[in-house]
Amino acid sequence: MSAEIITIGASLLAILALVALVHFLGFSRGGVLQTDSDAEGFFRLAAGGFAPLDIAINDQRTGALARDANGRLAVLLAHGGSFIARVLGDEASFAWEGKRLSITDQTIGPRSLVLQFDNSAPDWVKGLASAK
Amino acid sequence: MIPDPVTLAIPLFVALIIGEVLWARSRRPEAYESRDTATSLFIGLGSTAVGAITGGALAAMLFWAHASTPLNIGWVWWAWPLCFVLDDFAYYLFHRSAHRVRWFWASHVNHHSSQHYNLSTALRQSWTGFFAASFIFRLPLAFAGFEPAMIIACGGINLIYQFWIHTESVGRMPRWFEAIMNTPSHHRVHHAINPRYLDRNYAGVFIIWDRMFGTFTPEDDSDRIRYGIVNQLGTFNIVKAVFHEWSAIAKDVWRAPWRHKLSYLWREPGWSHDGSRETSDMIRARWERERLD
Repeated sequence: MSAEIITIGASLLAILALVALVHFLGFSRGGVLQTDSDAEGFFRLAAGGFAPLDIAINDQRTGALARDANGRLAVLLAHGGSFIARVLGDEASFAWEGKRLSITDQTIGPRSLVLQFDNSAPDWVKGLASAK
Repeated sequence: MIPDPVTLAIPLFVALIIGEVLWARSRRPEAYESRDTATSLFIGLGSTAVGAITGGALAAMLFWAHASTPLNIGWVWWAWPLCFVLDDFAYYLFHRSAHRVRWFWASHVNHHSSQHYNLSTALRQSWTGFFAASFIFRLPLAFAGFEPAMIIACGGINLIYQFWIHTESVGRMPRWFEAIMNTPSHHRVHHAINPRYLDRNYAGVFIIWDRMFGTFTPEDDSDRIRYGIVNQLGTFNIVKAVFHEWSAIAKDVWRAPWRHKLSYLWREPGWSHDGSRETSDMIRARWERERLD
């Protein structure tokens, strides 16, 4: 048993060293949507399927909102260096504060997703708060 | 007493991960993410700790199976390669079940929950495999007369082989090798969530099992691979990563009508009695329909 404890202890030290190495080599940055087709690719993999018709990527390219032909909405949430797509439910709510759009829905967890559009947001995005 | 090959290989694992991290820094920065790496490695450590506890019970079961059969192959030299190949076939059957039966998937899913694909992902091993009774796939080898220690050693070597195929740093191996062996290219397909790749390439060491049983799909360089699980987890929480599917099964069984309760255990992941979710077959069919439209 003591050999196993030594193995696990040494493994723990190795893990901490490896994570520190990965961090200091610059692998702790958040994900960035390089291109629109990059965002489309993530949206298309949303659980249940989602074919984006219009995509609005925030100015920092760290999140996005899309609608499909049926008017359904989906968001891209940054997760580590990547993104996850979530199709919003009927209860999703939207609020504009200046150039920041807050999106709240149970499918994206307890916190709101905030997308900043310093440059002009598409009209269909601007109209969301009033439409809901 | 045969030493555990996986324990002996840990320094090699660490060295190869360091090498891959250095490669990724200059060639593929998106291959690694520090929190994802921490999650993978701590899940690996937890799996090792659980293995230390349940390993004795697994060995006891193999010894029981071996003692209860009139067959006894012993330690003859040819038993080693035969045991290795048959153990790899048993792994194929286990792995296919781990993707097609939700009970086994609940134990295996944490290996797939990373959205990155690198050598640290290989160490995201199950904590609940023993609880899920995954060992039943290896008992036939003991019943067939193979020595329990030989079966365990072959399983360990199989696991070590599978470590190096969890990488994007290797493109394709020589054609003859790709034809017979499981490779990084084949296994990238296995970890992909692109519809065309779902539930493909279950092999451990030899890709021939997938070719024989119709579950092989080659990597298509024109289709960028996305990794993870169909319903991405969206958290680095280790406990959620390990137990989320067990929790989901419990909720589904609790809520389902009586006649459907067991189906939430043995049917494929994504199955639902009211058709409100998608299985991998349904996702692939939808993708194929969309392609034709």
